[in-house]
Amino acid sequence: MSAPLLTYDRFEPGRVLRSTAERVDDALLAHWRALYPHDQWAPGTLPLGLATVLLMRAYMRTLSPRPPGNMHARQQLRLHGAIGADDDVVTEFECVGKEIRRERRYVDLAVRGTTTAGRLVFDGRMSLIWAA
Amino acid sequence: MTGTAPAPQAEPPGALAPVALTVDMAAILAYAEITGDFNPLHVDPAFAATTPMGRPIAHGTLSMNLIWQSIAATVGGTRAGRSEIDIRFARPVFVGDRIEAGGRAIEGAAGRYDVWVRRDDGTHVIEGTAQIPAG
Repeated sequence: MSAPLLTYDRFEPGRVLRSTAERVDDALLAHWRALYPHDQWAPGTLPLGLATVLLMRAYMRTLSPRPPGNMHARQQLRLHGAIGADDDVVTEFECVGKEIRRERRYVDLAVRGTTTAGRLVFDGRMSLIWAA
Repeated sequence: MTGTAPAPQAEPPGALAPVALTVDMAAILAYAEITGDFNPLHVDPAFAATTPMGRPIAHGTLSMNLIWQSIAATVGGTRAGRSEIDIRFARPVFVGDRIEAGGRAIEGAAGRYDVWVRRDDGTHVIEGTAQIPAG
């Protein structure tokens, strides 16, 4: 049986959802190099923007299934040092607010990424306009 | 998709090095692969045509990543890797748009910058601030 659609009504402020561990593999890094050929980063680490990618991959898998057509409205993100190429990162999402403004459904999520060794690598907040 | 390396020597003091990218459908599909985000608003022209956007738009974070690259190109990866950004996705980026990330130091606020991603016509598609730690 498939999971029910994650609609706006199902968000509960204070509830925390935790992703499975994500790691950046060679194929993903090759896509990155093709997309951003000018980007540079230190050996043994990941491009800084991949913190965003790990966040979004975790979001895709953890807050699912979503209604089609959601929009990302705002992003706060603080980095806590480069992520190692061999790091596995787990991301937590906590619903910290939801409200309807101008007929749009806004959902605010506090986000926090840590390696499986326990090192904080990013934290912040994302605001989304939920489609249904 | 074509990106351009920054040209830091041309920038005035207090400015972040510009980093540019021309967004095409291949870029959007590549970013969908990278993030696993196949939202039809990004990858399905038929679906996008039914929305107020009217056509596919790029993922917001595809553009946001250019800000990290602009910061890193200016202050180096170590400081950039301890920075913070707070941005709003102000307008959509469509296929064919050339976008450029940059920023400017806010006077009297140490390490704080106005940051943006803008189209060639100067319209901001992302706007916000960054806090970059001291070197």
